Amino acid sequence: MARPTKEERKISIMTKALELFSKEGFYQTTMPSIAEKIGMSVGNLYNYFTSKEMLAKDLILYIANILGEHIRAINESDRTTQEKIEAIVHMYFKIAKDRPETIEYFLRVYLSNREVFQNCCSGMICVSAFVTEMMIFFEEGVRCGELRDQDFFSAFGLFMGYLGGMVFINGENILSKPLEEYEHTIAENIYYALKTR
Amino acid sequence: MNTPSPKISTMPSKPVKLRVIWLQGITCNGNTHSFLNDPSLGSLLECIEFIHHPLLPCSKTLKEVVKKLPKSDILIFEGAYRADFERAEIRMESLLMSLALRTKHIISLGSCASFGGIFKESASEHISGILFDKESESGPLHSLRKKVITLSGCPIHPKWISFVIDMIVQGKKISLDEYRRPKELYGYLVHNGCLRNEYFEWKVDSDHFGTKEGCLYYAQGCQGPFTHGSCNKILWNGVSSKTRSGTPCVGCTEPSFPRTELFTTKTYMSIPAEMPLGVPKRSYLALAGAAKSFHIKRLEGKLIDDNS
Amino acid sequence: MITHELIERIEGEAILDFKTDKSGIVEEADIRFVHFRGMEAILEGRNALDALVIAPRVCGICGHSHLIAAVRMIESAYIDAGFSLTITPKAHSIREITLKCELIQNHIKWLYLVMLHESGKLLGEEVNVSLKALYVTSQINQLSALFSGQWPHSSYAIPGGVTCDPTHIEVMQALKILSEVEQFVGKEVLGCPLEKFELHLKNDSHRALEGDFSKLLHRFERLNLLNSGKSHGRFLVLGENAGSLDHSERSGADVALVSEDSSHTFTHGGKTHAKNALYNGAFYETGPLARALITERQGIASLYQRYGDCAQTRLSARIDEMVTLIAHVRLLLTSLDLSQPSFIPPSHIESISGSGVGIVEAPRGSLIHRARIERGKIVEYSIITPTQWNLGNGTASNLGVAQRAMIGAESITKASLIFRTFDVCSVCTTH
Repeated sequence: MARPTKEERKISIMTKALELFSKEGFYQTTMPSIAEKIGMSVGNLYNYFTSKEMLAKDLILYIANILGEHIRAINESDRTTQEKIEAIVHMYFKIAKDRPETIEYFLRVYLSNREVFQNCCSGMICVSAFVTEMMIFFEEGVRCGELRDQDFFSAFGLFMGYLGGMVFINGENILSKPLEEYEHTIAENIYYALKTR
Repeated sequence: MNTPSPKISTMPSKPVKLRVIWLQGITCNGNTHSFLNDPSLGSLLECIEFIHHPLLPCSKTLKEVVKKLPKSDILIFEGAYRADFERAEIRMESLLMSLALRTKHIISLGSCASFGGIFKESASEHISGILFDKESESGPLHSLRKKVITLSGCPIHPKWISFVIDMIVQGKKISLDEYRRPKELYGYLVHNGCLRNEYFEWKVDSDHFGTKEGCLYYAQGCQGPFTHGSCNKILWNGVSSKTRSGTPCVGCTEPSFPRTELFTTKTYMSIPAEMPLGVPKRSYLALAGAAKSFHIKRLEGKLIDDNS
Repeated sequence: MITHELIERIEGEAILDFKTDKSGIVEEADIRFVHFRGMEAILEGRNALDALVIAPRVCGICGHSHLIAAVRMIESAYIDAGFSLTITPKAHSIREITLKCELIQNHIKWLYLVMLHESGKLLGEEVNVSLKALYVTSQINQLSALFSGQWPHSSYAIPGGVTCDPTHIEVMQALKILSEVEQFVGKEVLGCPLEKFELHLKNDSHRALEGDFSKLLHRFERLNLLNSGKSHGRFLVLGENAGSLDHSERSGADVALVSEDSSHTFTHGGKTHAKNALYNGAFYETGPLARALITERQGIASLYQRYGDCAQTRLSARIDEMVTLIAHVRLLLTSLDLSQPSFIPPSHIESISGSGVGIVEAPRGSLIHRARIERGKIVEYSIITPTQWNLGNGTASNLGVAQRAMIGAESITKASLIFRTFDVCSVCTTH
């Protein structure tokens, strides 16, 4: 079997670290605990990531890229804006279900520990792959006349805040039905909130 | 492209001047006056002579021109075209065609002559440029398209016209774009050379008018990043330009001129509706998002903080 | 005998219909403008700020005056709508500088390209391109562009101020250009230092000067036109220093008394596109002579007393105005306080519903822009240009200003030259 490349090793480290971060939080997770989980020496781990902050930053980039790629595929598909909303909601909840650690990391690590990301990741740089696609989604929605023109962030906040909130509530196990059963209603709510009047 | 045939003169030191007719359609005279701004007009007039010009001394009055329909080397047409518009009581459809057939080169001068421009707005279905009607090549000189050089702009810069005349005088080939505009003048964007470029690069918008700082593309409606023209290379009146004086570019060299809402950037959910020319929206947004997050201190302050 | 004379070498073209007696003396003169461009209709329905781009395109030689009229109109609509608006003294001065530059270049072009050219032609003299005059006008336009970005067709004046934010570099450059202009006017145009010109007018010694202006006067003298071209003796200024003068009777001027008469235009079966502009129902002369008399500039006032509103007085008024304007631009440049803001943002244009009027003393006289704005959009736009006052076409019993000045001229060519003393602009007249 061929030896994994450095890049492949990095990804496998990140996958493990993601689990730890999203479960334990940023400060509870340490470089030694990550090394232990992977089964490598702490020194070797530092060969891949020079600090815990750098690892955390690469993780958010990684997640933003995954989300960005999915939304890009939706943006480029032949769907109405309303159908795109439905597809984005579906995609987001599916990731939350299949790979809960990604969304958890986003909500519990990235959004909750802004001080960690300030230096290496100011503004929206690390999530730009994702935000850019959301910009394109909104811009095209307004351009074709389906969505109301407004400030980007008020629309973005409504959309993503809603989805994040639902995933959070779901994580607390207080929903009466599985998350995917809410998809249609949520997509409809978002559409009605944003559509042209 | 036709080049003037070399002429034999008895006085080699004084070559035969190219004969130029300057004819006006529906116009404000803006190109005429902009032309007069050329400080080296004198040397230009050593290579050409006006058979007719609306303001400069010339050998024939308009009345004589419409009667004799003289031959010329260059026909300059300023203003929008309308078939039934009359000059010296002759309908433009016959006057323009007659003079166009008897000339070697035609310069469509200004955006009205080139695309219809502002005056097209008053009776859109009847008014056009001489070769183009907005973007479509359906003007009256369609059959003579190869003679036409488009110099769009409202008005044109005097150096643009003297450049074209010089090239014709020297018999050089002028490379033209899809609207038959010289690439050497219109290959640039108005954005090129704008003093506010750094603010564009780092996405620092101008809070409001009347400052030296900030880019006018994000809120004030500047069309510089997608308008062809060398306004910030060959400066206006030799010293400035719209954007250098804090005025947004109004896109006056393009067939779409005049658009509406000229002092506001059209946005869709805060995103400029028109991207810098040729830049894919996705690339622009990715780069803009990154540039914006850096908050360059120097660009957020005043250039000169104690200007008194 | 009836003759149709096509008047060229003006802004656009005009037609004069003359009726002459057996000896060729002009008995009747009708002024017609046959082109129409519908500027007002182009403006209607647009965002009010678009007027700052569209309005200058009314005219290539006085577009800047149209810009200032449009911006004043919008600012007055702000006030009408109950919003306040602050223009700093700096922004105000900069607008004045560029506006006055436009008047100066206009007057020089009129002198050299029109008057010296046409009078020379009439006397059979060879006329050449006056490169020196064109060079100096290009310099004045450069001075303007240091602030306005370009001339012609700048849009740098906006409600709340100006878009530019000049430094001392621009101001110093402007002063250098102005010095060159002063030298040109003193040496070439007047033949005396600028500050001496008024005294020459007062002493009636201006014809003895050796400059291009006195050359023009001599030609008028040879043509026996110096003291012809008299009109109603009624004058009007609606912009700065507003006032009216009916012979020796002075009163104020109220824009509410302005009316337009279109009963003789094509739409009503007439032969012209130009509407007449009337004040209190009568034809008034507007422009440099009116401005000189209403502000009581001494040189022109004494000339007027001596010779009346004849060609000589009218020609001198334009030249004297140029001299006054140059001094004024110098004062404005040297007293600019660059530390003040160029622009103070007013409320958003979309919050404005109201009516506005903007008046400017343009090269040829009082220019009025009026509009009604609804939520920032132009609902109605109306422009009255200076030449509509001076070149109005009346009836035999109520003659227009230039019409009256032409009647009695010894020939139609002489009448046409008198017509040009009013500085004809066809493109403005029929916007």
